[in-house]
Amino acid sequence: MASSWCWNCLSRLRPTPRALLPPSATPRISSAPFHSTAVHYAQPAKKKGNSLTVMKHRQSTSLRRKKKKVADRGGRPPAVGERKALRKRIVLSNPNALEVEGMLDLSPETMVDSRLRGTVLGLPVPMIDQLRAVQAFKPKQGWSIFRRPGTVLRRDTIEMGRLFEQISGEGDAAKKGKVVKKIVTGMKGSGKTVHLLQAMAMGFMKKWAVITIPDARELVSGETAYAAIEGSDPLQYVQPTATSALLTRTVDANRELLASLKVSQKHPALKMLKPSSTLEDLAKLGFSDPAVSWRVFQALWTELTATAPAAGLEKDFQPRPPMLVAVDGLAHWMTESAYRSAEFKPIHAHDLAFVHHFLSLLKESDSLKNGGLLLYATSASNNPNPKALNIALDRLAARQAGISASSPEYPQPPAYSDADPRVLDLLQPAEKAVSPVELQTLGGLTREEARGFMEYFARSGLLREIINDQWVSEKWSLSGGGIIGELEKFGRRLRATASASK
Amino acid sequence: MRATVEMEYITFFGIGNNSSARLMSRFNIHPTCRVGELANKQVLDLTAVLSEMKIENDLRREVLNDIKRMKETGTYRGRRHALGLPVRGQRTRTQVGFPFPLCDISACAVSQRH
Repeated sequence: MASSWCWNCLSRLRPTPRALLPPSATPRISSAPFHSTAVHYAQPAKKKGNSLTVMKHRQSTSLRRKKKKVADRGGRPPAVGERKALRKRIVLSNPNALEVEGMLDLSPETMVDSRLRGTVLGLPVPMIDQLRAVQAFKPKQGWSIFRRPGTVLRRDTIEMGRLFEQISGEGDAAKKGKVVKKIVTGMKGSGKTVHLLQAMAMGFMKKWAVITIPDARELVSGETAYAAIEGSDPLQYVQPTATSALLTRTVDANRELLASLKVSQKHPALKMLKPSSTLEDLAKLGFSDPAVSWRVFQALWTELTATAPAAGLEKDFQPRPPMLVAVDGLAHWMTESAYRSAEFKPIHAHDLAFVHHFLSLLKESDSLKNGGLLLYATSASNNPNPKALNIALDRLAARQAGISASSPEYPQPPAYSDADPRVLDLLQPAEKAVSPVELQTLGGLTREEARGFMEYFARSGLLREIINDQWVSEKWSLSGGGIIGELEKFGRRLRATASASK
Repeated sequence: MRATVEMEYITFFGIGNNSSARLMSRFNIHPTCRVGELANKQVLDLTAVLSEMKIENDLRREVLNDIKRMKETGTYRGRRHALGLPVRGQRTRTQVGFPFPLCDISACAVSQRH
């Protein structure tokens, strides 16, 4: 039979070594009862509360946690617009990068030189301010890691350079004064925005009028003021602030050109305009007063596309240069905008007069009367992905491949899909298409071009690798066949690993 | 002023997200417009419309009057309001915090008088 004694308690009976115990204020009890804690180990007795404590009603009994106090970091919060300015800051130079010796500048000669294909050409320093004015540089592009901004002369660039020459009337005279309309697409990081930048640089070099919309989204995302145009049918809306900004951009970038051209048409709506004023003066009317900016923009557009002066204004007429119109992020214009009509219906992007103006250039056969280039780029990373535009672009590609509209292979919207008919109609060729819209898909660089590009990283001191064919070939494959944005990551990443291994 | 027009109107009792958006689109005010950016005409238009709408104290009074009327006519909803119990058919067997401690006789008496 098991003993009923608890061995643990029996041990209590032994005298406790006095020296080991802390001195205690409580009187020692020499004998302890069984199954009780020794007095000096016992917890202090709890205070007895009032037995008549009122029960708390209507209070949640769930777990209550103390909220952490947010530590005061001190200092003032950033001023209004400071954080945005930091986010949008564009750094074009890194004094720590090596200067690439023998680097050529983009110039009318080099931009069409096929021997230079694959090399990186610097953007001319005086032009950088103009390019900044038209917001050609974007914050997330890697301009800040090199000594000075430069772009690769790839096949598409040389072809575009030749196009600029032809439209300007050099070489092949057949294309002089023609309009070329292109929609630039391609994978993410394939260089669409930089392609537009190169076009703008070429436009400035050839003394064209350059008009850009650096972010198509800003016009439809409900961030700028809008107002209905009275009496328009269907009702259209102007965006005075955005138009004002466009005029400012245009004048900043094309100041020299606009100051040299005189007003040649009559503008009854703008009474403050003198017959002797320049186009710069005309555009400046719209800066300060957004209320007239749309009318000023329309007047400026008529002036730039004028082929002959109005009666009585022949004196100072100079032929107008060709124009470059560059739009980035076209897909945002192919859906309903964030604006709403007075009846609370969403306004289609095509009903905004600003957007409509630039989209109608694609549709009209001779939209730029003095010739020029329309470059409308899509974006792969900031893309609302409208179904109708995707189908319209597929159709464009199919037409370019020679598939007729009646063929069963011709892309059709899926049955019961609500593809936007206005968008589908926009890229439909007109019956007598003089200058149809072309689809230009940017792919990857060739191996030779990729080698030139990576050598530029190495010569800038960013890449510590021996660049040979095998290495380039490996990186070319890893970058999805020379997608330039991916190649750039290799240049940057290796820089990081090189500095870590030091 | 830095507040957007939308947020400014939502602070009114009786104007929420939807009415605010409708009101703004009626006068072509974009969603991120600041109060300081409004044109004089737009401000006048908005004030004119707001003065016709039943908002703030008028609306509060109307709601209280409705409840009072229901109590006076002795409808079920009125009685529930008086008892401070759920009005719209919710379950009361569980999950309803009692309006007063059941041992509190004076509170019971008050609720029965209503």
